[in-house]
Amino acid sequence: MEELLNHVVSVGTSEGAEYVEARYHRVAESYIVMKYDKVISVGKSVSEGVGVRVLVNGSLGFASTNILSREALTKIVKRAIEKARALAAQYREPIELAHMKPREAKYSAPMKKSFDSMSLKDKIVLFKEVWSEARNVLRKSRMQAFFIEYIESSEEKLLVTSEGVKVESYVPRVSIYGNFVINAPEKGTMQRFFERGGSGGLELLEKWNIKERVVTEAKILEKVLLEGKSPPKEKVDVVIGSEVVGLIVHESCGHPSEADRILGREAAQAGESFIKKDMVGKERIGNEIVNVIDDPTIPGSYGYYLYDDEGIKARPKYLYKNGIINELLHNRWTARMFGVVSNGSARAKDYTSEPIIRMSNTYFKPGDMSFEELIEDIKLGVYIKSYMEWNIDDLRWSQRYVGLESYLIEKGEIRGYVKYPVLEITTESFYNSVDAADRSLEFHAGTCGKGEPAQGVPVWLGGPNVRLRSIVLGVAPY
Amino acid sequence: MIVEIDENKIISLAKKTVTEALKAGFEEVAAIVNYEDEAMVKFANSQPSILQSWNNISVSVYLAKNRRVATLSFEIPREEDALGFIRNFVSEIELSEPSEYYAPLPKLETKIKGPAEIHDSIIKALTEPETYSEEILNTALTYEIDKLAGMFKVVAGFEALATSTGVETLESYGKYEFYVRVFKGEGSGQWASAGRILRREEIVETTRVASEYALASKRREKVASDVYDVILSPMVVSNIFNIIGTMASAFEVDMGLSIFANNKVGDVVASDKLTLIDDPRNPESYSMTYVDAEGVLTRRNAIIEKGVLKTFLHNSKTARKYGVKSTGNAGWINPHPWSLEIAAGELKYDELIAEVKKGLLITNNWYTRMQNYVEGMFSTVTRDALFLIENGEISKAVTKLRITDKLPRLLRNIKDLGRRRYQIKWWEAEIPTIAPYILVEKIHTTKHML
Repeated sequence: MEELLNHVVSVGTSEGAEYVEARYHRVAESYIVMKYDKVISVGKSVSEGVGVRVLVNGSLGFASTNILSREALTKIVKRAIEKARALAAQYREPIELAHMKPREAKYSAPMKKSFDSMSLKDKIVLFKEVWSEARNVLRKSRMQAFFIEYIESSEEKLLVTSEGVKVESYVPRVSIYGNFVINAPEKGTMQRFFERGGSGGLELLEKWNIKERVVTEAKILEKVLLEGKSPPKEKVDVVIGSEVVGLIVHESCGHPSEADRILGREAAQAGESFIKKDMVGKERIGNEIVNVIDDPTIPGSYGYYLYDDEGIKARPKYLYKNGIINELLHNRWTARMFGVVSNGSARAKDYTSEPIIRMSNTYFKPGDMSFEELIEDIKLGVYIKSYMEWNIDDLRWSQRYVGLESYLIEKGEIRGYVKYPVLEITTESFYNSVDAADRSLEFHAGTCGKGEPAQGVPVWLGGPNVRLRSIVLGVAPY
Repeated sequence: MIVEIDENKIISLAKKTVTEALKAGFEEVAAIVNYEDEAMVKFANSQPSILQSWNNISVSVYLAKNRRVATLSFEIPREEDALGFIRNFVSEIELSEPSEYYAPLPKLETKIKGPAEIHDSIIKALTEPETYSEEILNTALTYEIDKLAGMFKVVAGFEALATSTGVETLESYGKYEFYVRVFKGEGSGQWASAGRILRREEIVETTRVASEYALASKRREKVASDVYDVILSPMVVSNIFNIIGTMASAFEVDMGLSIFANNKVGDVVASDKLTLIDDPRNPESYSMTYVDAEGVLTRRNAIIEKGVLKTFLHNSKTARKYGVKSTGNAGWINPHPWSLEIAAGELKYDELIAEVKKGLLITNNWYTRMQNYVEGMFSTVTRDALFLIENGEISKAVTKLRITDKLPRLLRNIKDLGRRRYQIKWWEAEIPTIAPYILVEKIHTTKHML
């Protein structure tokens, strides 16, 4: 393969491209889908091909194919160059890439238990047990729907560029995604999506203990459905659980910190950003306690990588530091535009995808309190532990999260359940309202969408429980 | 590149895949082989940001043995490797269990060999995307805008289907998708277009609508969240009905992902003004197709007719479970809509606005998410131009709100529909949808409180 990629680079440079990047990319997945304790289907998918990016007279071209003959690859690289050249006159500001040093590297994510250390049959038995226990925990309601999708995947890449990059990687991943609906005729329904994901092998299944998680949640959500009351109308203190905090920092820190979005490249799709170029390093967005980090290098993480898809070494980035907008997520183009070096944030989903700026594992840095300390001085408040509905505007400023598993806090203690509390808040108000975080740190898996065609990539979203002061919660009009 | 792969090779590969899978021990097999040539220009800041092209072959396979069901898909360089994966999967499928959704593949003997119906305009755009890119940029420059972003895509391809029950089909297709977002001052406008023939007028009109909305919203005022009568543009209608159309899949219903989970055919689920159709036979549709993944001939299905739920969308598996016939919407596991349509009303654009005493014209939205699929609790964020309507006239452009309501209520509160329809497909509406402007009464809106 390396020889083929070198051939692509050599054809590209001899045809006059200023930069050529050839990436072999193979993603293989196996899946099981179950409804209740019954298998619906099993299967497999493999995508394998080469994606080529060229820069010609400041015009960017990308081509991909899974026909991996020398002839076909020659043709696509020539076509990409020809078409990029034809478009060059339409660029008012030609594309340039920030400097980087040549680099060779090879890495893989560790896997303790291989995918075949457990048979398909045993995996099915494992997921059957989740249902058989979950169905029995409900006392006054029934499970109207229940499904689980299990995916194990492996991603192999070899990147070669005209600037002396050669990076080879292998990352296996496991993920579980599911849904259940609890129905109590006089109270309606309550629905929960759950997801776990990480890099590694089947050791993750043991670590996650899906059965216990689902059973515990089903029990609690039945209580929320049957006993949950509307949130208080007055201003209250609100504690946001790790799952929601992870999502909030992903949406209102990670996304607006994508430098390509700030430069308008995603304007017609995922939108732009409230962050402007001159805010970086200066603008206060929240309290001193606010530190949000994006770190692709966390072992076992879902968004794990050590080199990005432009060959830049990955590292942790403090996006918000002590409440200040501190660093953006860059690729080589945006780095050039901002006069910095790339911090290695370019990812491509598969061989059909151009590398674009993506988050990896984004989290709110934990504080030093215990959970009990976090709530002990709250006279009246709400703890929002999980969510279903959420969204944010396309500048990443006005956002909404609707709680699922939620509790009333009275006099420093958790007392009773709250149904569908709504946190609808601006980014600035959120980060200015945070006054404490506990020392727990949990990560949650997600698939982040961006780009055209849309590229869903695995990410972790994380954080501790955080406390917000003086919040007005909304009530969902359901 | 489209001429470089012989269409006969595509059908031969589909047939060979079926033969080899049967030889390997599977009892039923369906194989889809697709070859596609695609080009896309993405725009930002009134210039291209990248030209992307794809040239791919994919093989998707449905396999059944002893009522156990599997799907495999491959985009890989070597045909023999794909066949190897299929052969090796015999031992895997035996470790699985019989599927409650299992139904035999329908015995159909469907034979179609579609002629090359790719319109010249698609071939031209695929060969010279730079010409169309220039035209888009030049058209936008005729308006006094700050900047334009967007995407223009053309695809041509072949798709062959072969099954162990006698189906052999080959269809060819050519299609385009185009959307632009235009910015002016505080305002912006976005519009989209899609179809099988790329007409210059479509590029001009799509750019015009987006530009006019941007210009009309360049200064915006705050507006209170309230319960409003709202006019949803075809962009918003497409986004919301992508969700509702998908929820009509019998499989989604079973999985607890549908507002129709507690309905049966014949129930009134919407205002009698609403007719929602899935029509893969519309020759202008981006997703026109003659057969579904099981070889069943596709057809025009009214999902909701004058407010009444007429059918769920079925493949042969869900059809067997529900005791009905397939509606030609396979998906081997999950049936899905191909190409949605909302029947037109009678009112002109201005007449729809004249119907509203106090309300909103919502030209675009994004990020629609559900709190509960079964009950249809959702919210979505308005984006681009949003106008306040007072006493039948647009009074001013206003800042963003959220629609925060329940889908069943939205369906019931449809009051009127526009007479003109647009084919929309874009980032937030993946299923092409032919939609008019729709007036919906009493919709809840919210905005951030802090």
